[in-house]
Amino acid sequence: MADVTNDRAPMVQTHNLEKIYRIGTHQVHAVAHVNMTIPRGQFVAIMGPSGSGKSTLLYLLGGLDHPTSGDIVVNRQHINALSAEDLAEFRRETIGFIFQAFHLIPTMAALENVALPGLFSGMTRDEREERAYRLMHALGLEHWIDHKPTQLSGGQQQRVAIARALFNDPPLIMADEPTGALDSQTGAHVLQMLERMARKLGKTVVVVTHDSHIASRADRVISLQDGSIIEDIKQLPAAIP
Amino acid sequence: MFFELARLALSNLTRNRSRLIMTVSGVIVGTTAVMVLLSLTYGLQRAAESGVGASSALTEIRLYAPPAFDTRIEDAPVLDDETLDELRQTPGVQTIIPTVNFYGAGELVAGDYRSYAPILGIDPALLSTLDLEVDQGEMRLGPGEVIFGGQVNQYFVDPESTDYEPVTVDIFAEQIELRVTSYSDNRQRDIRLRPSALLKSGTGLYDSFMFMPLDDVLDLNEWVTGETVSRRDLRYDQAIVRTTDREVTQDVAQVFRDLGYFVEDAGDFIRQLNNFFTTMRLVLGGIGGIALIVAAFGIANTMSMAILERTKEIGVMKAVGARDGDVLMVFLVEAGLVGLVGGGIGVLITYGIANLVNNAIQQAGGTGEGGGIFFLPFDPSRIGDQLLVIPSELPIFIIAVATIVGLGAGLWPAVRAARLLPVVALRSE
Repeated sequence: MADVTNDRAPMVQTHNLEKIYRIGTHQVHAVAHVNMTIPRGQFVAIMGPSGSGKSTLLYLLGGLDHPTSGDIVVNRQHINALSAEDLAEFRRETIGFIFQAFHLIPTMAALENVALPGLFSGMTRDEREERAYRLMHALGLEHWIDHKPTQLSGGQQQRVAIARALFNDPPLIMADEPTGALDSQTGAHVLQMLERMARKLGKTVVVVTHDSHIASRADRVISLQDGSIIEDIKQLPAAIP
Repeated sequence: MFFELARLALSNLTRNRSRLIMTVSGVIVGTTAVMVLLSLTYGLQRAAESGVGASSALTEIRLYAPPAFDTRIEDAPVLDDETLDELRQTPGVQTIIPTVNFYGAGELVAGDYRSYAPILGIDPALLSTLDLEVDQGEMRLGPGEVIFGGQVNQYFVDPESTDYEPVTVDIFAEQIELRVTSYSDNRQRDIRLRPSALLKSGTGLYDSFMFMPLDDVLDLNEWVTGETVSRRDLRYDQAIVRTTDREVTQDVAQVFRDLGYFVEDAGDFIRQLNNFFTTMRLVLGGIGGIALIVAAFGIANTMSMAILERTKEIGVMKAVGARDGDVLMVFLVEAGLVGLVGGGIGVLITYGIANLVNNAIQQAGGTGEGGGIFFLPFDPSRIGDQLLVIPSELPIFIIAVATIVGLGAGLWPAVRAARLLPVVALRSE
């Protein structure tokens, strides 16, 4: 996968990105004229007060929502031009999502949750479970393979969710308040995992967060207010503690 | 891939067991209702056909040559020994029994009572091939002997009376005479009839006929018409065709019709019977179908609830790369499974009900006359031992319909789930 030209192209690029919600007759600019470029391998924190549009921006970049206008290019794919079918493939191959509330399927054991993305890429059950097992082993989750989400702590659930996000080895990881539902210690552990994805695995990581710890470890902090970028600070990459 | 999604659907189904049981129960009630009612119509149809089929009328065709005086028909086919030998080669024909009509009025005289019956002359050697059932007497036609149709004895009337109340005459005890009248001079002659057999009544086409030996009828015809009949190159008036199987009867009849013969068979009757039972099936199936429609709404409701509860999971599935089609499939398979399982159980229950009912009928039949099936509007002995008849393709049909009903009921909720925008699904509470 060492494609040189591919490596030089930015991972994410937006042009005049806009998302307008209509509430009654009122229009809300959740995302207003956002132009930004995220190079490959960058660990980006997007910050801002509630309602600043940071989650909406993340969902737009991940192909989970349609922009009102503007363009999004992710990994050389012009995603607002993709069909529903291609968009599903894009999400499957390119993006790994991590949510604040973990969003594990409650009826499935941890292993099946991790293996869920493989269900839609046509892998056999054995292939899926083998890869999920190796992934969980690598993340130190091998003891929780047969546990249902309700039998796991918040930190454990989020680590299972991270394993799921990594299942298809996507180049772009997107996390929406990944530590928001965790205590500070487990939050720190999750942060460590995200950082490792960027530094060790070379993945592009975009995290929407309120957590100043995450911001302090990121390569770049983008601040949003009322849907617009008000600050974009690049930091020196921190050493892995 | 399909089986993987189906496995997911199966595990989703068992999440809310009590709701699943109630939804499936609705389908079970619906399919059982449809299937029991349909098997009732098959049972009744069998009973109705057995009333006709006992006389083997279903394998019988009557063939007439067009009258010789009808000059509109050129090359009119005839019924003589030569053509009959050819007709016997027609596929599906078992045997052909030619007969001649008696040309006189055929008035029957029994004391003060009178009746009329058409007489058929038949070669006594072919009598056994007619499959007639004897009620009293013995199946034989010696010279001068007569076989009475099953109802000939029942319609004697006193011409002097005012009400013409028909009476039944004991043909073996009473003296019965045939009164024949000559065409030319109105001379009358009473011929003493020697009955050899009375046929079973209600078994078919010959209830009101009498059979006599061919030669006797030819003699009588010569006497009434005053004309000599050539026995050598005899033209028969009609022929009774027996086919090898009831399924081919209509085809054979058509072959003869195409040859120019006048043909009479039980086909029209069977067609009407079939039409009647087809209508009955539609009506009763429709009544049962109402229960199935109610069950369909149950499935639709259950699926809508399930999708509402699992909206967030749909969002997750889409976030990790599920296509709209995958989501659609998962929910459709779920709905289809409800139909399939409900239909399957309904079929099993129907077999149970059919066994119970048919056993009860057999028991009641075992007690003989006046058995316990008072609610049936006809003679239970005609049903044989089965009131509910389940043709082998019916369970497959029922399960298929139940599955289709499930899929149909689940379609709209599943389409709505598949079309959900991931962000909307993920943010739903």
